Amino acid sequence: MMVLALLSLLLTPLPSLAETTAGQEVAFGIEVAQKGLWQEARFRFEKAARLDPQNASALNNLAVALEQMGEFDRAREAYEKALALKPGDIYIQQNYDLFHEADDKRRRKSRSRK
Amino acid sequence: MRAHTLAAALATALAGPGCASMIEVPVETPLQSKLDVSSFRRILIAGFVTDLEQSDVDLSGETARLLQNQLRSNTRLQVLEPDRPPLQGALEGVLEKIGEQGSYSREEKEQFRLESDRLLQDPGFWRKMGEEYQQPLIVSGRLDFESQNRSGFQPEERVVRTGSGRPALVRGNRYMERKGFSLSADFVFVDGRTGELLHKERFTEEVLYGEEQRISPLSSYFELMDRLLPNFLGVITPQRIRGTRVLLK
Repeated sequence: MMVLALLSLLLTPLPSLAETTAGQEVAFGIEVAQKGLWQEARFRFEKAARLDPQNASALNNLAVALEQMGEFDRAREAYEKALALKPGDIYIQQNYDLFHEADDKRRRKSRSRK
Repeated sequence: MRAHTLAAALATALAGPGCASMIEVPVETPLQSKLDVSSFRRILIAGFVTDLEQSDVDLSGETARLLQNQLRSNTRLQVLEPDRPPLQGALEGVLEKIGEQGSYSREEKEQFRLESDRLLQDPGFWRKMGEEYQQPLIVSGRLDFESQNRSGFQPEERVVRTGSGRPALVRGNRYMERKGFSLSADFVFVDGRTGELLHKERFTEEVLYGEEQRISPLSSYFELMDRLLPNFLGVITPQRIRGTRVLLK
């Protein structure tokens, strides 16, 4: 009986683990992104953006992850949302400009492919 | 680089790795290849058409060898290595029709150019070659490697001392010897199953050297090919653009 209770206690998620904040998701996303685990990073940044849709950092980071994974349209959308939330942020703007340069190259390539 | 990008780069540099609010991470943005080659298992560098002028570089042979090496390490395709570039035989046939080997008149060179162009665009010719080599993706084209002379007067500014010993800026022109080489490559990518042209692209590169530099044509050729290769490979293999982005906490 005691063993069962202990097991059920162990299997019950702690509120602090189950209900993370956007900030915690962003922090963990950055940690895994630095290790090159972009799929996981993307999942974390997406979750952070869902938890706090006004979080410009989450959207910026999500855009970076999407760009890294080749999802350029969605990356642009995320960058633009981040910039709309934090207009004039030099870091987001820098990322957005560099994204545009890479996207231009990609578009030139796809045009010549047709 | 745009002004705010420069500002951000400066801010990033000043903030350093210990900055609490941002982290710079390396990214590799994928770039799709221009040509979908997933249906091919083999690739054949068929050889290249070059000018009839005598050249210091065996352009067709060196290029075929270089591309074979690059393709071996950058693609999953089996790189076919015939003893002799298969286009060579056909080009020799064209030359036989034109006349004596060794020296060619302007008309003969023009005729060779037209005939070789016709060959490069002949689906029947490529289809036959494809049958012979088990229907690979065929790469061929035309190569031009020329010496360039850009010597001439260049604007120059010098500081001279006036009679009173004060420095003065003098603008003038100075003759500068600048020679180099240009390489242009018109690559064709042909479906060895049908003989159909899949893709055609021209790449041009040029390198110039100052008067004190003595660089051999072969070294220049490799320098130019080194610049050109990523573009060539980008036609058939996905490329990645490396860069950095900033993640925000």
